[in-house]
Amino acid sequence: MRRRLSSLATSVTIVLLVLLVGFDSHNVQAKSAAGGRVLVLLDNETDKALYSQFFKSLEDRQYTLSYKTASDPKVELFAFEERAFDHVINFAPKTKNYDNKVNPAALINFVNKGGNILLAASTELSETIRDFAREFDIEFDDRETSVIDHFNYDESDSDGKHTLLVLDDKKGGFSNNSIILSKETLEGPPVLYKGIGHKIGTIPLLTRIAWITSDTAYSYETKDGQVADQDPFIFGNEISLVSVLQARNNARVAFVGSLELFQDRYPKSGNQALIDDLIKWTFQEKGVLRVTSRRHHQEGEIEPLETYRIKDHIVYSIEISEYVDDKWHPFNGTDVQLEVIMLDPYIRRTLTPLEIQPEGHQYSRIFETHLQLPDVYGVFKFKVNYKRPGYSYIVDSVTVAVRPFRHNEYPRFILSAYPYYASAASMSVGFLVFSAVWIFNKDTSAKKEDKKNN
Amino acid sequence: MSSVKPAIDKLLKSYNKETPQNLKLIDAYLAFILVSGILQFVYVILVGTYPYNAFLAGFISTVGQFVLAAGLRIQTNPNNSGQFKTISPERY
Repeated sequence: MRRRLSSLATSVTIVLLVLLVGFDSHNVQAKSAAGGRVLVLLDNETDKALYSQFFKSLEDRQYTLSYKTASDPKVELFAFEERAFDHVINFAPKTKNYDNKVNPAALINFVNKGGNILLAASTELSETIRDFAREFDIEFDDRETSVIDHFNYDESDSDGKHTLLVLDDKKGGFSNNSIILSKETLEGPPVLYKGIGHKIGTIPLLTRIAWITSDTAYSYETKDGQVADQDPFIFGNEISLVSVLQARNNARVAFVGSLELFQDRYPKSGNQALIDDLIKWTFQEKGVLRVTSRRHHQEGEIEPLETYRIKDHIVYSIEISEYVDDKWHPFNGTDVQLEVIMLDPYIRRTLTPLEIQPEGHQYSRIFETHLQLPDVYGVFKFKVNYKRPGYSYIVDSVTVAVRPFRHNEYPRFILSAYPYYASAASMSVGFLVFSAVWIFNKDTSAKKEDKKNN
Repeated sequence: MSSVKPAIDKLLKSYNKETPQNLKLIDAYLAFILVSGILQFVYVILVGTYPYNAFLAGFISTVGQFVLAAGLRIQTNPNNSGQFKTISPERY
């Protein structure tokens, strides 16, 4: 009896604990679809104060920030082969020697396991960080260089080197990708940028967010008395300032050539809006899609089949949600396509977004199409391969078998085939009649032959 | 043209006179098969190949019959009797 009571007490405790933990984790959930654990890497512990506004905005959105110096030997990205953080902010461009487990190779591994990285560089950029960026097809200019424009700098730039650039060409110099950059950013005040430039490669996973549009800008060293006697590495339109990459596993990496952008220095500029958009996108607070279900069945049926017949009329539908403002909402795209693939796509069809039913759930939208399977049998995939810059990628496929007609499923007694039926029948009848005539005719003709031969 | 007509006349005359009656019987049967095969071919060109298997069945049955009947004609032709010595008497 006592044992039973004690076991009851244990189970009650467990239930309570689970409830507590459940509530607790719900309370501290960050506004990201990927989780709220952030590792902040700094050159020095004291640098933290420079970005107080920025870090406060993250904490306001329920992120848990762990500040570490990049050379701290104890910091680890992984615990038991699992990511210990969901996001990494690397504000430590100066640190050369990573004698620990957050070196570039580990950061790349982190991305491969789905973690997001925000990397801010500066003029004092170590070779380790440049190596890391090269892995993503991004080439930062050399150490000690800055983006300079003698015709388009901000007045408050007092050192006379003209490195504080005014990015006021919001139409030309910023990505028009409305998933990453919000309207407020594009219509707000100019962005003030002071830092290093980079050149992006050709891989399609990269998206340029901000770049130079003025032809007079170039990237060069800014020592006192520096004479520009060699061609700059990049100039004019080639200079990218902010670029982002979404890896194939939907991990996001942002490269910013300026640490100053995140500092509290330029309160009236459009910097705040830009980095807000950037951090929201990079930390998966927006532009995140997910598939909640997919269905396929014959027209007029409900149950999906493992095997369809060639030329069957079927209905395919997929439900997609988009993560907006902390919640899953119906996705509003109009260009989701279905491919019916057996090595090659046999059918490629744009799916029709359906209206949200008031009595149904409100977090996703159904995309549907009615189609007739091709006149080819084999193993097919119903594949939705939706990859748009800014949105997380959707690759969703279902495998079904498509069988040929059974022998009794072919049409019979086709009107236009009657001549052939008549011919085949007349050949059979003709054979019998001819055989009969031949047999009974044989004697007389043979006699004739005999007579002739005789 | 003037030389063709006597040639045809001669051919018909000699056919009627020289060809044994059982071979004429086969020839009539062959002509029937040939006509029905040609008709089907013309039909498939006009109407299209839709019941293609039915066309193949009908057409190939005429071809098969034609081959069989032509074979019989060759074997039973007294002119070829030297080549077919082992043929059973039932076929005559």
